[in-house]
This record gives sequence, structure tokens and C-alpha cells, in this order.
Amino acid sequence: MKGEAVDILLIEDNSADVELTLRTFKKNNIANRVVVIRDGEEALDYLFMRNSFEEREEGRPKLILLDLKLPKVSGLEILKAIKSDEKLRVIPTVVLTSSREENDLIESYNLGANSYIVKPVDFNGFQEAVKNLGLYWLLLNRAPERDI
Amino acid sequence: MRAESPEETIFLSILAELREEKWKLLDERVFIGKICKSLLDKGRFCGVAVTLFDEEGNVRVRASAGDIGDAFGNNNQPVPEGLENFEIRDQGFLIVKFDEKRGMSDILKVALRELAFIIALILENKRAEEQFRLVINTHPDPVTISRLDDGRYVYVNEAFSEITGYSANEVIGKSALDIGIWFDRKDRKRFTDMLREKGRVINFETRFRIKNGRILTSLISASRFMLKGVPHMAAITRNIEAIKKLEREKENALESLRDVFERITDGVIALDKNWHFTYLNRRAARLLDREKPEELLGKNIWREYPEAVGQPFYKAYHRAMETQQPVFLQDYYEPWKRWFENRIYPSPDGLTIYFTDVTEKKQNEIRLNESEKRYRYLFENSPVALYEGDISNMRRYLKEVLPSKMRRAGREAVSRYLEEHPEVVKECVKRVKIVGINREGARLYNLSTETEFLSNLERLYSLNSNRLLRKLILMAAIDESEYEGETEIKTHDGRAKSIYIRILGYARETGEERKSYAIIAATDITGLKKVESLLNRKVKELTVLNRLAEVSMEVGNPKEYGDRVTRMVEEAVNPDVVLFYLVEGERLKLLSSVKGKAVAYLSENIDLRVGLCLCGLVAEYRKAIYSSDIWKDKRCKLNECRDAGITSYAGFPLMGKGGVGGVLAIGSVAKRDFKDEGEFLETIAGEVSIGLQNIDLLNQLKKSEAALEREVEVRTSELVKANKELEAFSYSVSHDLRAPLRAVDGFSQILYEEYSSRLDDEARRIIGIIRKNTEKMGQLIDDLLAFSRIGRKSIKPAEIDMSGLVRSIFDELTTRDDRERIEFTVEDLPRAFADPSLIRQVISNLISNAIKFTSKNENPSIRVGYRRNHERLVYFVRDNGIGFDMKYSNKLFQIFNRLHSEDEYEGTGVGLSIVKRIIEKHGGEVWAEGTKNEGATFYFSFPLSEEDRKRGVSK
Repeated sequence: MKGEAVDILLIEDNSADVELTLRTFKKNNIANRVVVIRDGEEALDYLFMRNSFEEREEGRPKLILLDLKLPKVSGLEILKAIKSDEKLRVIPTVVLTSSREENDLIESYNLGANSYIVKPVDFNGFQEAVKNLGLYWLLLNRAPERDI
Repeated sequence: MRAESPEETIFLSILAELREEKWKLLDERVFIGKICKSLLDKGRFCGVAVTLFDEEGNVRVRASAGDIGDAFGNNNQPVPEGLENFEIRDQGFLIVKFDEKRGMSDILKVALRELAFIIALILENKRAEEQFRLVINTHPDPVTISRLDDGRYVYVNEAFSEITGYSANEVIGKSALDIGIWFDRKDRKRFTDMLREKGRVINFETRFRIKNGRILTSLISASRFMLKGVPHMAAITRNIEAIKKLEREKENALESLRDVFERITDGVIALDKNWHFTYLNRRAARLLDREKPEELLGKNIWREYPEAVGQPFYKAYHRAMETQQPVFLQDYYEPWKRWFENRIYPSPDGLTIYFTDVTEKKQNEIRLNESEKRYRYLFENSPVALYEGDISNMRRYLKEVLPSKMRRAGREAVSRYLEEHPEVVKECVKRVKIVGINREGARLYNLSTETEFLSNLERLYSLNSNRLLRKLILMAAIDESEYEGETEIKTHDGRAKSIYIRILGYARETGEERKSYAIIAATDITGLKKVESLLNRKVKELTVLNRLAEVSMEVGNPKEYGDRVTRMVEEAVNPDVVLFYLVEGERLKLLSSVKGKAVAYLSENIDLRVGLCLCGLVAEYRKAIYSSDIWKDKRCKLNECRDAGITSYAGFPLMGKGGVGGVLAIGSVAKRDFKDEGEFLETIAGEVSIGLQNIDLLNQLKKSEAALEREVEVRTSELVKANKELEAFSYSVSHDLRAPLRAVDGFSQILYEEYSSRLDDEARRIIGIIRKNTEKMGQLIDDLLAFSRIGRKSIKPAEIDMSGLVRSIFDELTTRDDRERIEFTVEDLPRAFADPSLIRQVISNLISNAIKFTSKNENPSIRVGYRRNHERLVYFVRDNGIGFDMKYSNKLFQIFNRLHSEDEYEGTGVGLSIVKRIIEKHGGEVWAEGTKNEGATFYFSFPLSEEDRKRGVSK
């Protein structure tokens, strides 16, 4: 897999949700390479190439799917870090969460989230939502190649 | 012609001197002095003197020259040797001492006699002229002397200046024509022509214009005479306006006199011996009730007036006729019910009778007598003390004694004068004559009888005891007729009384004399005064207490309170020292003190032991202590107060909740009995005790207030914390409960889809149940979250078009089939003012309920309507669904409470709870009415705002 660009960085701690998400991608042939991080701190390490990810290959993911409720560092903090960074902020970051809280929604958009999607409880709805966002952000949306 | 003798020469030369004008100008004294000198020089006498006497024979003026001693030349004195007297007619003597060697020739004597005669003439002239001047100058009418030709004034008198307004300086030397004082120049021409012709004109009527422009019609009389060879006129002018006015007045007076005369003029009748009328005047005819005298002439009086026979007049006429003596009779003539006065003059031929109707006069007299009687009765029995004094003598005396200027200056000046002249007051007392005093008056002075009052007058009206008298004198002195006011008197037995008096002065003619009287009405207000002063004291005390109470409420700090209290006590009671101690354990600590100037020494930090000295004893015995002399008081063991120079003392315990809280003490340098004001002082102490307790309470209150605030702060922060935790909780619920649910749903679906071939029907059914429950669980979580969100959310009200909202929600919730099936009615709903998103939820919940519960009805019908009253706006959603039993109506809105099984109707049991929560958050109410199997109505209301109530709710 070396050399191949990462399509999606999925930051999600619930393994069931991870599996359901990955299944949906696979079923719809959306992503070739998905990196899953299950911890907020780790996510920052990955994005900024620190600690255990110091050695990782350079390159930005095409899409970040971000849960808000994460161990150690919350999704909102991660979002803030991404959108404050010159290089990272161009990456489309979609908040994918169970929270229907309005505060979370507003805060996310304030911090620069590109989308905010509430995960439907029923699996069909969930599948539909994930399929659509993958198609949109990876295939339809054009992101700049270079740093802005 | 014979040659003039030397004597004649002397005489002639002196005579020539006398004739010279200048003599006239000389003063009398200078004149006779000159004569003496002149005679001495020219006649070579040893001495010359002139002595003039006044009317009583005393020397008026004397002048002398040469050696003549003090010779008088008095008629009664023998003439000393060598002197010769010559009488100056009626005025004095010319005395000459001649040279004995030469002697006195007869010719000289004759010449000197002649000289004396001329001197007399000159002197007389001089005096006459002076008198003339005096008379003319003080004449009330204008007198002028002016040149006849050009009218130039030589002399004007004072009246001229007064009446015309021109001063002498303004007119002397100027012409009357230039000044324009003659209104008509032709008049003056005529007047002067007449004067030239006749030498004298009397009462020439003309008009003069005086300085202020007014025209005076006047009479002018003048004489022509020569002055220094020039014709002059001396004129006297009389203002005719005044005369005319006087004449008018005189005319009026005569008129009224005539009137009076006519009124009192007697009727006159004459009767012959046989009682026939021989004469009667008109008035008599009228009095006898006939139009003309002729009607009665020749007729017999008793036949004409038979009713008079036997009356007193009848008898009087007969008596006069018989006795031939005049009879005077005033009597009542019964037949005419009138009084007549008759003066009957008999003669042998008959009677002449003058008679007058005096009924009115008589009635007045009777009335006067009656009113006098009534007055006396009232006077005597009046409940007000009355006495009457004759103050005529006193008035006369005051008029003599007081300078008129002072009397005009008024009350105060006279009052001062009386103050400074007690002897005048004393004299006044002697001149007051009390003419009557009524019973109440005697009682006021504590006298048993009127005579006792009259005989004690001097004492009752003594200088020091009677202020009333002074008022009376004052009134009489400044000619006031009324006085009203309060004053004091001393009674017979020496007690002071306050009275309210009214003095009324009046004058009464008694015979020739005019007398002044004063009626004094007095009311004893001693009692009232006492009440008044008591009242004043009470008011003052109450004011102090009131202020004390205010201060107790205002001040929260004991030291400030102490300072204000001590100052107030000082002001109210005026002691020399005020001490305010607080009890601290076994000691008294001085909180505040006030020290007057008279106080010698007072420590600012005296601590006392409870039980020691007076203040300590007050604290120990919890009782007020009064000591009028602490130097003799054995209880007083400490020297503090004595050192301060205090004599009298009073101390009061200040009672707190748990016992004595302090001591308030006052002291005075001069001996004083504070017990007199004990009640007031103890009330003050009571008030101060309350004040101290107040301050205590206030401080406690402040402490607990602070504690309360802290408590509130803690609770608030706890509440904030709890709220945050709750938020976190619902966040977790929202997030964490859903994820596993999704996993259950997701994996069961994957199982169903991907492993379907390996599952039998039962397995597939079970998977279906799992999925159905996860769905329900998801719904439950969503509802719960919505419910909890409402609690936290703040309302953002806006105007809502209710009808539109209801219709759009109904459309959202139903399919086309539903809409065809359900009879849905929306009334024309008034707009609501509420949070739109929340109200949307309310309506959505209620309508979806209605749809749900009518789903089994064949003809479902839903109606949304409203009601309005003064207080609130009520909306309702009514359906004809399955309804409910009213006994469960209170359970409807409780969360998770359901009235139907889930198999019958789906639902989480949260929807109505949410409705209730939202409406209550808007200040409204929710309730429901229903009948089982017939339908239900759900109501929700909003309170109307004040504004809505006024204008009615808009649609």
C-alpha cells in the first residue's frame, strides 16, 4: 500500500460503527484506502506526524470523517486543530456523529466543518448517508492539489 | 421871628434826627439808646436815660448815657435831686440829669416834653406797625401790597403763599400781570380803575389762576395809598369757593332745621268757654284727623270727639279752665292709641292748647327702657365675666400727660412710655371708676360680691398684678375702641389667672357731658392654658421620641447611635451632662457622652463596675435612680460625677433582651429635680432600649443576610454544576445510546441480508423483532432528548399564523389517502405570540395523536378551534377517536404514561409530556376532555398580555 494516497481518514472509537462504515464503503466501492484512528490523541499524532506516526508517509487524506465523542481529545478539538493548520485545513472534514445537539452542530460549523451528518440509528439510513457523503466528497467534490 | 435859643436849636436838631427814616428801622432798644446818646451829646446834660415799662409796670427796656445811675423815673418814686422826668405817654420816661450850674430852663423843659411826646408817637407807631405786620402776616386770607400802576408786588403774606403756591421770594418785585395771577387782565384793569377813582373797592368778584393751574373764584377788596410817593394798593382776597361752600352748608343746615321745626311744631287750637273751636292751625287739623281747619271751626270739641270725654285730657282741659292755671300733660290717648303732649294755657275767654303727637318718641323711650333692662339682665347673668368702667377721667388725664405725638406714634411707643412711668399707671388706676360687674366677673376675681370688687379696686388693679389694666390704659391712650387678646390677672386671693379678654370702648352722652366707658368681657382660660402648655410639652416630647425612634431605625452602628441619642437628650432635657454606657460583662463602658460648658471635668473613658456608684447601681437594680443632690447621696461612692461638678443626677437602665444592656444618665450642675420629668425621661430610656435592641437585631440580620447570600451562591453554583452534568448526561444519552442501537440494527440487517439463505423463517422473524425494537428504542431516545431539550431551551417568541401552521403540519403528517378519509376542519384561529418551533412541536404532537386515535374510526373527524376570554386564549384539537376515560385524564400528560397498549396504538408516552412542558413554559395550561369511544379534546392556552386584553387579540 506504500505510495498510495490515503482516501479517507476515519476517526471513530466505536468499533461497530467503524465496521458498519467500512462495510458500506466497500459495498459501494467508494474508498480504496481508509485509515481508521480510534483515539483523539492518536488522531492528532497522525495528522501532525508526531510520536508513533512520526515515521508515517507524508501526504494528506482526501477526506476526514470525524466523530465528536472520542477518548482523550474530543472531535471538536481535532477539528479546531485541522482548520487552524495551513496545510490541513483544505482537507474536507465531515463530522459524522450520533449527537443531535444543536450546540455541537453550530460549534462544528463555526470551526470550519465541511459537513455535519447525524448518524441514523437504523442501518439502512446509515448506509445511505455514508454512501452519499463518500460519493460526494471523494468523487464529485474537487479539492485543491497544492497547499493554499 | 425871634432867634432860636440854644435849647431850641438842640431840640430842632434832635427832632430832625428823629424824623429821619433810619430811626424807624431801628430796634426799640437801639432807638432809645441812640436818643440818649444824641441828647447827651447835643444838650450837654450830665446824663440821659429812657426807661420803658411793660403793661404790668416792670421795666421792659432801659437805655442810658452819661452819669445818671440807675434812676427809674417811676411815677411813684420821688424824683431825686438834679433829675428831671418827662413822661413818654403810656410807656415810660425820659430822664435827664442836668448840669446844676446851668440849671434847666423852662424852654428846655417844654422842648424835652415835646420830645418825649414825639418819642411816644414813634414808639407807638413802631409797635402798631409791628402788630399790623403780625396781623397781616397771620391773616388767613391772602393779603398783598403792590404798585397800582404795574402791579409789582411789594409785600405778600403767608396765606398768599399757602393758597397760591407762590412763595414770597418768587413774586416780590414782579408784576401780577407777568405772573399771570389775574385770570382776566380786563378784570384787573376795571378793578384798578375803580380803585383810582374811589380809593377803595370792596368785594370785587374775579378769578385768579394759582401756581398749580387751578382757577379760584375770589372776592378782592383793596385800598389805595401812597408809599414813597407812588400809588400802591393793599388788597385782601377771599376764596369765594370756600364761602360758597359754607353758604351751601348753612343753607342745608337751615333746611333741616326747618324740617325739624315743622315736625315738632305743635298743633294749636283755641277753644272758647263753651268748648267751641275758635282757631286751629293746619297741623292741629291733621292731628285731629280732619283735612282742613274749617271743618272744625265753631264746633264743640266734645261733640266732635265724644270718645275723649272722661279721658285724662278731658279732665286736664277742665282743670285748666276751672283753675285758670296752665296745665302740662303727657299721656296716652286710648281711643287713638297714641301719646300726646299738651300744654294748656287758660284765659278767661277759653283755652289755647299746644299739642304734639309724641307716640314715636314715647315708644323709643319705652324701647330704650326695655333694652336697658334687657341689657342689665344679660349683663348680670352672662356666663362671661363682664364689667364696665367709666374711663372718662382716665382718658382726660392721659390726654394731658401723654405728648400727642406719642399717642399718634401708636401702641408700642405708648406701651414703652407706660413701662417707664409707673406713676402714670398709678394715677390711671385712681381715675378708673368701675360702674358695674356681673356675678361671673366677681367669681373670676374670687370675690363674693360686687361691692367687694369695687372696694378692692386699688389692690386688684395694682401696678404689678394687673396686666389687664395696662391694656385698658393703652387702648384709651391711643384712642382705640376695641381690644382683644390674652392676658393675666391676679385674683382677690392672689392667684394668677389667664384670661381671654375683649374690651369695647364706647361713649355716652349724659346731659352736657360726654363720657367714655369700657366694657370688659373676660373668659377664664387658665385651665385651657394649662392644657395647652401640657399639650405643647407632650408634643415636644412626642417629637423627641419620634425622632429617637427614627434614629433607632436609621443607625446600625452603636457608637453613632449613642452619639445621636446623647445629643438629642441634651437638646430635649437640657442637662449639663449626658452619659451613655453599655454593659460589657461586669463593667459599664462609656459609649457616648455630652458635656455642657458648666461641667468642670469629665473623663472620656470612665469604666464603672456594675453595682458601684449610681450608674452601676442603676445597672444592678435595673431601676431608674433619681438623686437631686449626689453630694449628700450615700449611694454615690465614686467621685467622677462630683469631680465634674454635678449636683443632680438621674440614671435609667437600658433593657436588652437578656437583661440590662446599658445605662443612660443625665446630670446638672445646678440643683434640679429630674423626677418632674421622670415620665418623659423613662420613656426616652425605653425608646433607647428598643433602639439598642434594634441595632442588635439589625446586626444579626446583616450577619444572617450575609450567610444567606453565601448559601445562595453555593446553591447556585451547585445548580449550575448539576445543570451542566445534566447536559453532559443527555449528551451521552444522545450519543452513546444510539451507537449500540445502530450496531444492533446494522448487524441484524447484515445477518438478515447476507446470511438469509442459512436462516429459517423463525430466525428471520426474530431478526425482524430485533430490528423493530431497535427502531422503537431509537424513537424513545429521540423523544427523551426532545423532552429534556425543552427544559433547557429558552423561549424566543414571535407572532405565529396558527391556522397556516396547523394546516401545513396536517399536510406533513398525512398521505393523500388520509386527507381524503379524514374530515379536517380548522377554524379561523387568532395569531399566537410564542416560540414558533416549540408550538410547531405542540401542534404536531396533538394532531398526530388525533390522527392516530381516529385511525380505526370509519368517519374520522378532526377539528382545530379556539376560545377566548378576558384572561386567556385557548386553542383546542378535537377528534372523534377512541377517547379516554376522564378518570385517567390526569395521567395523560405524565411522561411514559399510556392509556392504550402498544399493540393497539404506537407511541412512547412522551408526546403529551412534551406538549405540557412547552405550554407551561409559555405560562399557559394544558388539559383534556374525553369520553371513551367518543373522542377527545386537547386544550392548550396562552395567557393574554395586558396589551392584548385591551385591544382584543388580533387574528
